[in-house]
Amino acid sequence: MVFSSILFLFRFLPVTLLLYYIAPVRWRNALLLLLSLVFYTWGEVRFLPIMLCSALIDYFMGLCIQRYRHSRALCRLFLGTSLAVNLGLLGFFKYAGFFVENVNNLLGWSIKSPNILLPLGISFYTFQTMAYTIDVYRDSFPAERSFVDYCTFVTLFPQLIAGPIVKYSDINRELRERRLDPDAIQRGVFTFIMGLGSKVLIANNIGALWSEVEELGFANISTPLAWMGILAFALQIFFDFSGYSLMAIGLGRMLGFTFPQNFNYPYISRSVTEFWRRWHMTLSGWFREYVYIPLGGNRKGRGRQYLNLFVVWALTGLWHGASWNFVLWGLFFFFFLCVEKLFLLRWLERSRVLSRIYLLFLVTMGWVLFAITDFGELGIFLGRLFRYHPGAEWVYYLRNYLCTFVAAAALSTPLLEWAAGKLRGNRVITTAFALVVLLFSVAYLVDSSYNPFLYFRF
Amino acid sequence: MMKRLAKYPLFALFAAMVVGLFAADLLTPSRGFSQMENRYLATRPALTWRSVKEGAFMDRFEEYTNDQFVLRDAWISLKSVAETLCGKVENNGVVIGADGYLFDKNLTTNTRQLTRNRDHVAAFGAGHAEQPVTFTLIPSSYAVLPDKLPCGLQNVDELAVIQNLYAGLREVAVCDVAPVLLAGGGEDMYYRTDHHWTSAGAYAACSAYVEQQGVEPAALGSVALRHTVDGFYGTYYSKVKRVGIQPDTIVWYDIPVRGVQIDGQEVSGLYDLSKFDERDKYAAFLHSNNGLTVIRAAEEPKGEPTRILLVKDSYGNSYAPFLALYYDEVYVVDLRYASGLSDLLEQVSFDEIHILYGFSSFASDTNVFKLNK
Repeated sequence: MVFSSILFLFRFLPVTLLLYYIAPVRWRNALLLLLSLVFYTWGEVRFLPIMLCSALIDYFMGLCIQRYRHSRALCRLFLGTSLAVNLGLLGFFKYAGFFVENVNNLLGWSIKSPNILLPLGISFYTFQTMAYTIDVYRDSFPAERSFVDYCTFVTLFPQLIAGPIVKYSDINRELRERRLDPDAIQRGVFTFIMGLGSKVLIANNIGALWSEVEELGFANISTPLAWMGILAFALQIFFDFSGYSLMAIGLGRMLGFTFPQNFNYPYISRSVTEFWRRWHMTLSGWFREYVYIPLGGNRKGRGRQYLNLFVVWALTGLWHGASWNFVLWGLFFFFFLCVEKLFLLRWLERSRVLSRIYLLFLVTMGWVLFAITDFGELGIFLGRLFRYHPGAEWVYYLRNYLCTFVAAAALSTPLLEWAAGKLRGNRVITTAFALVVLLFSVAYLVDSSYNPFLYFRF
Repeated sequence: MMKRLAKYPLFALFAAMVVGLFAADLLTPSRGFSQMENRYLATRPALTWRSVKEGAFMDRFEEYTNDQFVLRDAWISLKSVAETLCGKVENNGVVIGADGYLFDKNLTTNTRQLTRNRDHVAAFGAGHAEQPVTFTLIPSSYAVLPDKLPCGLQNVDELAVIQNLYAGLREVAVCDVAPVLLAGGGEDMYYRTDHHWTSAGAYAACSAYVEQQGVEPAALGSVALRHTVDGFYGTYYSKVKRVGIQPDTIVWYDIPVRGVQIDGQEVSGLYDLSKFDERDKYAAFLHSNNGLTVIRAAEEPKGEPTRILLVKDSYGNSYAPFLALYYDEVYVVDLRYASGLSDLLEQVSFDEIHILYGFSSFASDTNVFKLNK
């Protein structure tokens, strides 16, 4: 089930909220667990066991580590089991095909590529449960004893399928005790509606342009249309993903949870370094906490630091998809991060406009690598971008999408927040605005011919 | 509690809307046919273990929820208003052109199916060399009215593709109707809100055909009474669902006939007049699409009746009545509803055979092989 659907908004959500607000406090976690399982199962009946398997293994490993803290060796064993199971599941379901393909290419064999379907949300929940076990091993907090509470943490439907990646330490207090503060709930509603609008009104609309460019075929489009296409993709992926995160955060607040922020206006960044502190913050945070720092971070000398960064960024790329273009995408950012670290950052800090042009250009090039999986097609598209190919068809598309482009560009900046600040929290205007967004979002959902779930492959 | 709710207006309104629409949606009965969208809406799927396991139930249930959502038509109109405000000129594969014209958005053609169908026609022609077989492809409205398309839209050049197709066909004769459609200025030849040609367009094409056979086209005014029907919102309108589109006016001619039979049953004349009161008014022509329709012209034939076989898609429905002015018996076959032609061709001998298709349906129809069955 996706949040941006009539089914969720007008069947699942009202039932969930009604039951949740009426239920006695001590039943709330169990109720949430049940509802979350229904939510997950609606999309994927047969992959439920895998998700439960990952959760259960880490629950038991957490308890075992807690129990045998005195024995370093045993704790290592338990941690190792947890990592092996989680990475094994992720590796098998997500990367088996990729692995086979590469073995075939490298060794000239022809093993039949397994046709494995990716379980919904596996990239998110395995990372979540691994973080839990690692943190228990590090003695950051005691292992969760309550099976219901632990499972609620893992399966919590707002963040189960597409993040943000919530660490156990983010919500462990709220798991045990949360008050339903009406002010927080209202803020949650507002956040949710902003997320819904981002996804339905902006991402879906502008994304249709990129889809059509793909359909036309890169060899058939003009240069202006190629640029419009990749900018459309850049906006689509941002509003789709940040929209979904906002919906998750909003829903969390409605239920009494505070999830971490996942996007902070990444497109106003002035450097790649800053970009990755504003884009998919919980993922880069996860890689920093559980890969970069354990590898030594920057505490083992310069050379080792760059090696660590290389590993982190190759893995970040690979996490996004089982294909070499994603690894290339990750390493593309690794390269510029190194360049910035070496000397560029000082120059970028001096200019407010040039640094932003630099960043937006690089990020757009990054999206070209990200969006096109086939290297042949990638070549054709880059040719379209940088060698002039005439054509008039872009006029038609500009006419249809100008409005969405302008709105998307404006909303990529803190313009709305600034405006809200100027209105000094005028209730009438903010409420009216939210309702208008909600009404139009519902209208677009009822008559939707294009409502993709970009992150289903995670 | 009410006072508390007033302190949180957004939450209150949001909750009211979500719960309210939820309740309203459950209480409103399911609709069958949507006039606005000209299609049947999805109904509640049956709950079986198998469909749940395979996920099919979930997909169908979601479709059902969307289709039956309360105030669906109002929401669609709201979206349409938003799109218009944003300056968008297309929706669901239909483009809004100048002067209230709606057009197909047709960026690519299924050349494979097109070639396959052309080969079927060629095979038919080769197999029936004794009878004169004529083939006609009717271009879509946008091909005849290219200036009304919005700037920059690069639809398939249908006229060029059609010429190419004609050039490759040696086994059948070709009647090219594009010149007469273009000559008429194009405007009155097609409906604005529907993909079909108007009766004027059909008449022009029919005149071109009979002229090619060496017959003088009849002047319409003298032989048939002219009727008009207003308020026609066609197929393009149902797809684009845009507010503020002007409807078309259908013109039909009361051509005198002795009788009309559809699949063996006698029916009340060339047109199903009851359809003019419904949304899909074009379905009145020739009682919409059927397997075999036989039209007997008004006058008793002196001697052996002249017979023509028209193999057609829905464009032929407004074309066939005009043939009754020139032939004693007109046999109309729609291959989507018939099993094949060979039986008919064995039983009845035809003076002429005309294969008449609209370009877009010819490029996608998978029933053309029945020509040779």
